[in-house]
Amino acid sequence: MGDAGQERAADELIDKIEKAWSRQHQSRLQVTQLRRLSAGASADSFHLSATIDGGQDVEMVLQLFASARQFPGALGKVAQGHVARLAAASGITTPEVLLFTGPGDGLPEGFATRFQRGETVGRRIVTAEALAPARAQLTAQCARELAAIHALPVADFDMLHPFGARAQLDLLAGLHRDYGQPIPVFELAIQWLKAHLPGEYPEVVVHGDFRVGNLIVDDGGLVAVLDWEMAHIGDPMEDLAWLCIRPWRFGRLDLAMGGIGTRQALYEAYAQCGESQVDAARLRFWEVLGTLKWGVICQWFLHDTLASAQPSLERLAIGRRVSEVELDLLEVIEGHDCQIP
Amino acid sequence: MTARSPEAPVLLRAVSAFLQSLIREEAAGGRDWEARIARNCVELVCRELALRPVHEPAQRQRLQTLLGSSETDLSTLDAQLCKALHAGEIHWSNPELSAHLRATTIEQLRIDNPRYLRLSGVTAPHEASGDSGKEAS
Repeated sequence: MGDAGQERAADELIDKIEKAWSRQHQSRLQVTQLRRLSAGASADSFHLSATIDGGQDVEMVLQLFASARQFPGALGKVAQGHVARLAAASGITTPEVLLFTGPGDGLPEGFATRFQRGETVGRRIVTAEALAPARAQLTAQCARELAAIHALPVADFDMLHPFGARAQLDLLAGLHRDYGQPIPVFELAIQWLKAHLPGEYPEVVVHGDFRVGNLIVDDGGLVAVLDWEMAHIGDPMEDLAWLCIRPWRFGRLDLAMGGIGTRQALYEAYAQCGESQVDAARLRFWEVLGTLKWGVICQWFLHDTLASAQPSLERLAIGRRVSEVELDLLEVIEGHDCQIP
Repeated sequence: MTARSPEAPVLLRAVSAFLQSLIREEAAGGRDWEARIARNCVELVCRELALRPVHEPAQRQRLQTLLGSSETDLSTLDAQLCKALHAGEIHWSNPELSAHLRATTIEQLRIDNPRYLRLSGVTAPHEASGDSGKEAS
């Protein structure tokens, strides 16, 4: 598409967004600037600057569903927007949802949230000198935020489905075996997980993808939690474990909590909020399952791109990250990972 | 067939150096990230060409011993190991299994991402003397 074509497409998109706004609000939106942020695997995202009724300025991030293929279990864009809106209304630190889009607007399913300034890139959050004061706060802030999410009233979130330990293990084992490239370390992890399935646990709202990389952070620490795509009803330990798995430590493998803090500090701060007991055996189960999940997601990225006419180099390279995950699995299963519970 | 000059590793190293120069030139531009991935992929292929012939015989032998099999194809042996794990014929806590998987994972990471091995502070038993300086990340 040439520059003129791109401009026309942007104008059409703006027109549709403004019309969608009018249908949902008693006000008129005028978009002054539209900037594409990324063309992701399952969403196209845009930054919008606009005015409401010619006065109040507003900045938004619009995410539009872009592909029929999503990792199994992920929420559609509209359901995701509803979860985010309900969570924000219940006091969770997540950007306010301002607009929904759908076929009725001539747009893909999607939603727009209020833009919030801050750092989202994991490596910079973990290493930037300017963010040292933020890192000092972040472990306790994440613990408090997770405790608040786990205290949300389950009955209000009827768009979320239970997704427990057994169902998640079966899904991952099935996906892995279907790829037809059996990886012995993955099979070992599957057998270990089968032998360590947790018993009873309290059923709570689980964010499902709470990690450094899905947080907005500024000098004061946590600004917002993003990306409710993997939300479900399940074990609160799943979120605490996912935050600590080795793939999200950005070079600081010695600091389990996202390369920023220790597991112990996270667990203590979480326990102080008094919502759920911290359970070492369940945490360990979910760390192994979470690590395996990232490994299967790497395989999924690879097979998805291999099936396309023009495989993406980035996705192909992700396929070779599976061996990192193999080491991660062995380290956690064999108890060599730092400060393992 | 005799290998014609320049041989594959020489060509790949030249491609890698070219991609490296793009990274420097376009540091402020939009394609820096992709050039970096491309450079890393070419470096990975260089390591694979050098190391696979070294690793494979040892991997094959360990698998044959573990499975009591005379199969020679590595993918088939891996599939057989997965089947044995799945069927419970080999238990996940078996120490020989664990030693084989650790060694194989380390060998694969020496190809895929030697930097991650160093970050993890992991070395294979036979590498304890340490040769990490040889691999540029």
